[in-house]
Amino acid sequence: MSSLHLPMIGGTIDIMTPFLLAALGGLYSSLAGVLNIALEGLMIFSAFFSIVVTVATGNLFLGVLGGVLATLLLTMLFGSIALGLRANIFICGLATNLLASALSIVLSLSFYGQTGSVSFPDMPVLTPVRIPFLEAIPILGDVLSNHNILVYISWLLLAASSLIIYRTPFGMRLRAVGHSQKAAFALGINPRRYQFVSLLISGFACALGGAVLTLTLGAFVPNVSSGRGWIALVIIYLGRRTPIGILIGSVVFGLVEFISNYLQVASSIPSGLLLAMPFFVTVIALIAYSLIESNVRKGRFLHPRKEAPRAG
Amino acid sequence: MAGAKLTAHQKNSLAVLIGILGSILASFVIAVILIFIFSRQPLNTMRYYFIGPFMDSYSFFNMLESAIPLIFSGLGMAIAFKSGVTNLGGEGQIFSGAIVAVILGSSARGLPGILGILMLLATGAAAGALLAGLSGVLRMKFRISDLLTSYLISNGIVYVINYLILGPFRDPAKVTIQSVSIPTSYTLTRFLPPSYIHTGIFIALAAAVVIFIILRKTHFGYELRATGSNAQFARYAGINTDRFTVLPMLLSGGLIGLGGAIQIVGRTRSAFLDLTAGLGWNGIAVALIARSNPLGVIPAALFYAYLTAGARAAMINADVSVELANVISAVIFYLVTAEAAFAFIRRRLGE
Repeated sequence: MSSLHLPMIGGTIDIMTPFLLAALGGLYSSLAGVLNIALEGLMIFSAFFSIVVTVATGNLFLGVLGGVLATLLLTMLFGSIALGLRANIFICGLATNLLASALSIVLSLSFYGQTGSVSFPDMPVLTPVRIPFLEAIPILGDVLSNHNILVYISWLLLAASSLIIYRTPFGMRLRAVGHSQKAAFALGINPRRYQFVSLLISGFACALGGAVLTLTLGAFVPNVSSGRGWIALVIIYLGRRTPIGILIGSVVFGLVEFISNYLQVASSIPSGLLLAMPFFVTVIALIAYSLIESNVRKGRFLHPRKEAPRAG
Repeated sequence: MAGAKLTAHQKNSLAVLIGILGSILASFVIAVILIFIFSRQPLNTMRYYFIGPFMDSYSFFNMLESAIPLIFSGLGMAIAFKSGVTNLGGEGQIFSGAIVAVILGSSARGLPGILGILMLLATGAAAGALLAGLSGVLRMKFRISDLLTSYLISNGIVYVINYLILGPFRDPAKVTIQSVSIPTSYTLTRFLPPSYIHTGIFIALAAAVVIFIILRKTHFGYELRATGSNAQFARYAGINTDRFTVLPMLLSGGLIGLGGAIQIVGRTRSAFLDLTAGLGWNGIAVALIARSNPLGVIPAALFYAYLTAGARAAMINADVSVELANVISAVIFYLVTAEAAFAFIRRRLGE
């Protein structure tokens, strides 16, 4: 193996974690039939509050907890207006993104006297943790181990989600609500309650994703998520709304960002253009997916025994 | 309640109006609360926030000026809402309209003024139209969500334009980071100096009227609205709905790009990193307040300009961040679509 490969895998694993967490959270709301475009804002909110609490207490655990609680509050606001007041969920999502971004800057000014980036050299940051039994795995051991604790938590959440979504009554009811609200209602399920819970789960996962962004950095940068919440929406779609698909999508987009970061150091391509790369790659991926899917569909017409594709 | 009997339609309009005014009022209440939380001299801040834009004619006309790009982005978003397409790329479209105007205006300097201005406005609009139109084509050809692509393309383009301003088109003679400038002969007249208000305001007002006429009085507008309110029905009625995924996007992006170009020829002459300053998103808020009515966009944009001008005055003279305006617009976003609230008002009117 050449020298680049192993750090590349290890680096991709670190970079993909916010994508994985946000997409995993968005998966629940997507399965419940809720369009949650607020993933971006939820991440930013937690990124800010986890750093505020960490700086105030000097404790990373409390910091993550603070980020999660603040983000759950914002999610409740979002959910109660969108589902309770029956406001347009798309507009409410935009409002949540706007509120998170603006409120974090307003609060940053009143807490730290600054509206730009604020860094805290003395605060504790998330550091890599070695996991002995992962290290024992041949070849991959080195790259699978030595990540911060939230990376491992994201894997546990991914594994748990594949059980929760497919193997528990909760997961089945959640998917039933997303499939047909009326049918779910007829079965005695309260669709709105499941949708609200799905939003809370997405708020929780995005909060962990946001905490990774700032607690590894030791600084808050306005709009630190820089589009990751939106790319996570694409990952959910391209991953065909399955946990495994989301894992693959997160690896791919983590790799794209890793390459973009790597080229900023190693190549003469202007870094400004490399920052744009993940977004254009995402659009190209959407086009490629659509082309592949339409070919598959045409293929299916040749084998009419298979189930006909559903519209939409 | 009301003395005269109202028709169902009037009741509905009245409910919408009360709902919108109610959410604006609620947002002001929240603004006051936020100012009391975040400001050390809340009364002083409130004075600047609420009456800052009316304190002198300079501030007042500058507020009117800042409504100009908002009218364009509001109109663009209103068209998108009316036709059922989703345009989340306003930021990139404004920015690309502006940068294209700067690049063309600074390199082709020899034209007569009016011709130069028309050229810059046309190419700015074309740039915005192309960006948004691409999302329309992707939706039509590949069935890819325009919500996603419009945002992604716009976000990528913003980075590219930032690079152009910092690199190839940066003006090395300036201390601040900004692009090269267009010649003064290509600028719109400032008719009330020292304020920045320029003749672009008349172009903006005319655009609102033209869009209103197109949407309400032409067959094209009828087909567009029909597709927007029920695409399946429109298809059965023989309307080519594919056409109405791309055309509204072109029109929406074109208007928004035009807003960016107007900023260059009317106000700044050069582009800088924070040129858009949320104009793309605020355009969505303006369109929502206006309930996507092109003529309603004008008062909605003025209201929004007032909101941001107040925040700016409060930031300069008092101790709050200009982002406070965005917090308040988020509140408006939340409330303005709260259907339950509208239904409640409708019921009360029905009694």
